[in-house]
Amino acid sequence: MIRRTEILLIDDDPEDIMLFTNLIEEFDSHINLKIAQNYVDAVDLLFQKHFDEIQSKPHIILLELTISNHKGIQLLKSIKEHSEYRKIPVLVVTKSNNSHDIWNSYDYNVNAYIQKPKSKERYLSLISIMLKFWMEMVSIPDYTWS
Amino acid sequence: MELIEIKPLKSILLVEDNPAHVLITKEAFSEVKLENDNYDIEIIDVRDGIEALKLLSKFKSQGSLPDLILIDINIPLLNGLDLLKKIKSHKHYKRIPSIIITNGSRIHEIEDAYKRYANAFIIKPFRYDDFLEMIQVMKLFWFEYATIPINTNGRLNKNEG
Repeated sequence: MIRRTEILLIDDDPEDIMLFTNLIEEFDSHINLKIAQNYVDAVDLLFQKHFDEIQSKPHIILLELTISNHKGIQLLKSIKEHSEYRKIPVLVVTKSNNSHDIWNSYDYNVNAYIQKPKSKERYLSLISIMLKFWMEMVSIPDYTWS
Repeated sequence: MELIEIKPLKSILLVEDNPAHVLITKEAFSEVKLENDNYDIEIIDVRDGIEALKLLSKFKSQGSLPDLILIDINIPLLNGLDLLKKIKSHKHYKRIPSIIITNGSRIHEIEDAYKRYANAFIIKPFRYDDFLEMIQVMKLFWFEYATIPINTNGRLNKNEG
């Protein structure tokens, strides 16, 4: 099944963004990647308009919790409390291994919490497993139908 | 003297009323098991939503909730989506990654499931080989890469990065 998938990456680490962007180009040309590099940009992108008015809604959101002085958890909460946005899978992909972050994320209904591996090889294999699972095996709401 | 290595146990609660599907799922998990897996997987199956809630309550009192819940959408008594809602509105159970699995799906079920905070929604592949691959990737993603909290006694499963 070929579908165009819109992924929103919210991260402020230039190296991680680059790794991710490069790998995605190799992995699948049907991914349309948007990047927000801080809290305000992410909020603007997601909440500036009504859900129905947004032309290209993300199918999957990848979120680094540590953006803008750890505002990621606030963003997760806003997304998962929103009547429509909450149906978008949010994967926290973060350098934080703080147990409060892990518990809070699941309490705020994160779809999965993933710690960024330290080695580049493992980071790359994480991204490919993650994309394989979430793009090929999991069904996610497709807004082109609704 | 033989040394027996005791591996940590990951437990999966499988809510599924079709015995054939239970069997196939258990088989698939043992088939994708690798020699060097540093954990064993235990699958506990129950046949309906009410039984699932009873078992969760029992587990909670023993201080060990499952690591993952797999819910078939068409189960008796309390259907999959209603069970999901109960799990995700419970203070302790809500942290357990819960995945809805179905044979076929209507679009509104996908949306409903995510609005009730399903961690993922999977349409069961028809071919056994595809099903095996799905179990393999699911196992890798949740048990090798994701970090899953264990709820009751402050124990936390962390994967080394």
